[in-house]
Amino acid sequence: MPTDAPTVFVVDDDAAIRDSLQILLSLAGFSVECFEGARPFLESGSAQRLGCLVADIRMPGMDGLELQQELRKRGSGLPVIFITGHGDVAMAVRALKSGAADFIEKPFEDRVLTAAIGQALDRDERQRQTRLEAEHLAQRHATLTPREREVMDLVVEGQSNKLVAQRLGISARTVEIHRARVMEKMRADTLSDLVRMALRLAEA
Amino acid sequence: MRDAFATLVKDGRPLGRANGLWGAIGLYWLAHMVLEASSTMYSYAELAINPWNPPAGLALFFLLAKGPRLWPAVMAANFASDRIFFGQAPHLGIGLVLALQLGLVYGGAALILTRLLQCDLRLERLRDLLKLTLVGLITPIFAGGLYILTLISSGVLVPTDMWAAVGRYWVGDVIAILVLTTTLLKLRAGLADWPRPGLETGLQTLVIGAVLWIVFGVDSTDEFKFFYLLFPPLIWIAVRQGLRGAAAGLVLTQVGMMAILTVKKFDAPTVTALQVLMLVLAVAILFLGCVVDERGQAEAKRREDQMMLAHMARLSLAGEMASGLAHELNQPLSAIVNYLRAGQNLFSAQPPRLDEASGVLEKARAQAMRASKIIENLREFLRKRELKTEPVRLDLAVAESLNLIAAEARRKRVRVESDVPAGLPRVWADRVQLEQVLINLIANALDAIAEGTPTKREVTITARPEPAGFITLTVADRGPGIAPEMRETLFAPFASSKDEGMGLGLSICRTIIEAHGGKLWVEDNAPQGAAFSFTLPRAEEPHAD
Repeated sequence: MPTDAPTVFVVDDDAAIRDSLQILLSLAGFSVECFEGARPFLESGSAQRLGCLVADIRMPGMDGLELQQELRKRGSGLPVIFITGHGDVAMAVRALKSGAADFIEKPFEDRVLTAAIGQALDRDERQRQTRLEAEHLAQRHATLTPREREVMDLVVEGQSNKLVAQRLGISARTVEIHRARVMEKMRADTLSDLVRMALRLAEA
Repeated sequence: MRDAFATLVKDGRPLGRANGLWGAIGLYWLAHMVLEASSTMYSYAELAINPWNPPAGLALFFLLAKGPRLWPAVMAANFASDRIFFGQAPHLGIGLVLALQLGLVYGGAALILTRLLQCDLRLERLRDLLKLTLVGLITPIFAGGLYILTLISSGVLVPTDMWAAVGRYWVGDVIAILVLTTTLLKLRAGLADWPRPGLETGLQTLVIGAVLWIVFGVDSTDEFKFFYLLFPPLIWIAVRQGLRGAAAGLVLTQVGMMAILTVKKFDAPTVTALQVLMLVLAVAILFLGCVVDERGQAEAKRREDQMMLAHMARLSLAGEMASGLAHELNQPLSAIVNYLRAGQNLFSAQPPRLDEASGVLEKARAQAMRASKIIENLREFLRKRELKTEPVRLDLAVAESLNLIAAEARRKRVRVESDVPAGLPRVWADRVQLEQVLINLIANALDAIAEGTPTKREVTITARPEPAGFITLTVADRGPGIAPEMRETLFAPFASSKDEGMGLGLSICRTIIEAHGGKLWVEDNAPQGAAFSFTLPRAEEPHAD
C-alpha cells in the first residue's frame, strides 16, 4: 500500500476539521489521509512513510505533543505541523523546541498551511536525500579491506605515499596500489573528494 | 454632658481645638473630684492613700488619650483634691511637691506606654494589654514610693508605717489602672462594638450583684474563702463579651464590693487584703477577655479569607469557562473557514466544480449551526443552573450579604446604609444566587467609590414594592458614575473597566436576575454616581415559571 508520493497525514479529533482539511488539501494537490486520533495514526504504520503530519495540539487521550515524542521514540523523521487554538502558544513553543516543523493558529489561511506543508515536505525530502547519501557512503566504506582503510586514514591526513609506506612498513609501490583501490571503491575522483567523504563518515 | 463626654472619650475635634481641649480638661477635673469624693473612706491616716484609688486610673487614661504633655492638668487635679478632701494634712509646699511628683510619674508612664512601648491604645491584642498591665503594676511603685517618702521626710508619717502605706497605695492604684483605664480605653476605641443592654447583660449584672452580696454582705460567709465565687460570672462575661465586657464587669464588681465593704464598715487592712485578691481576679479576667477578642478577630479574618477564596474560585471558574468556550467555538469556525476557502477554489476551477462547491457550502452551514448551538447551550446552562427558589426575605438577604462584605467596606472606608424594611413582602428567589448578585453590586459600588473622588463615601440600599407584583431593590453609590460609552457594553460579557476584572460580574448578575423572571438595569444617581436596580417577583403572588 505505501506509495512513493508524499502524503499529508491529518490527525484531529474534530470530524469537521478533518473533513474540511481533507477537501482543502486535496484541492491544493496533496494526497491526504485522515485519522481521528494519535493512536489510530500510530497503529496505521504511516509513521515510517514519506510525507508530513498535520496534528491538533489539543486532543483527548494522547495529545499532539505526546504523539510527537512517540514518533521520535520510534525513530520516525516525519515532520510535524501543529494546529493550535488561540492561547495555546506556550504549548506550541514547547512543540517547536522539541522539534516540530511549524505551528499554525486556527482558524488559518489555507495558503499559510499549504506553504508550511510544502516547506516541511521539501525539508523532509532533503533530509531523506542526505540520509540516503550517508548510508551509501557507509556501505562503500564497508567494502574496504582493513589495510585499505589504514591507507585511507593516513592519506586523508595529508601524508605522502612515502610516509604512509614508512608508517605501515610496506613499500611505496604497494601503498600506491591500495590507494588506487580506495579511490575506486569509494568512487572518489580526487583526493579532496575522498577527504570530504572521510569527514562525513566521521560525522555519522 | 453627652457632647462633653464624647470630647473626652473620642478623639474627634469638631469644634476649635483649644475649646475641645479645655472642655476635656474641665471634664477630667470634674470626674477626678467625683471619683476622689467617692473613694476616700479607706484613706490612710487621712491622707490620699487608698486601697481603691480610681483617680489614678482616670489620670493615666486622660494622659494616654490627650497626650502626656498635659501632665500639669493631672498635677492641678491632685493638688486641688488633696486640699479639698485632706485639708488639714500637709501644708501648701508639701502638697505642691506631692502633686508635681504624681503629675510627672503618670505623665512619664503615659509617655513610656505610647512612645517607647508603642502600645496600641485600642487594646485589641494581648501584647498591648500586657504592656498596659506591666506599666500599671510598676508606675504605682514609683508614685507611691515618692509620695510616702516625701510624707515621711516632711514628718507627716512615721517611718515604721512605710511598707503598709506603700502596699495600700500600690494596690489601690494598680486596680484603678487595670479596671478603669482599660474600660475607658475600650470606650474610646469605639462605642459601636459594646454589648447592647439586653437580657444577657441584665442577667450578668444580677448575678454579679447576688454573688457580691453573698461574699461580702452575708456575715456568715468568710470574704476570703468565698472570694472565688466572683470568678464564674466574670468568666461568663469575658467569654461572651470579650475585653469590653470583662472591663465593665470588673468596674461593676469593684464598685459594688467597695460599696458593701463601706456600708458594713470593714477595716482598712482587710479591705487592702481583699484588694490584692481583686487584683489577681482583674488580671485573670482581663487577659481572658482579650484572648476571646483575639480569637474573634482570628475568626473574622478567617471568614474574610474564605470570602476571598470563594471569590477567586468564582473568577477562575469564569476564566476556565471562557477559555473552554473559546476552544469550543474555534473548532466550527476553523472548519467553516476551510470549507469556504475550498468552495472558492471549486468555484474558480476551470471548469467550475459546482456540485462539489454546493456540498462544501452545505457543510459550512452545518458548522455555523454547530457554533450557534454551543452558544445556546451556554446561555441555557447559565439560566438553568440549579435555581433553588424559595420565598426569601429581602432584608435578611441584604443583611447576610452586608455581613459578608463588611470587612471590605471597612477597608475601603465606605459606609453601607441599608434601608430595606423587614415588613416587605418576600420575593421568590434562589437565596445563594440572590446574595451573589447583591455582593457583586455592592462590591462594584465600593470599587467605584474607592476609585473616584466621591462626594460621600456611602452606598445606600433601598427596596420598594412595585404595583405589578414585583419588588425593586436598588444599590446606589456616589462614585464617578457610568460613562456613556460604557453603558452600551456594561452588561456584555468580558467588558470591564477594572484592570483585573474579567467583565463577567454584571453579565452573570443580569443572567441570574432574568432567570428569576426579573430585570436588572442601571441609572444615574443624580447629581453624581450610579444606581443599579433589579426586580424580583413577590413570593405571595402566583409564580409563573
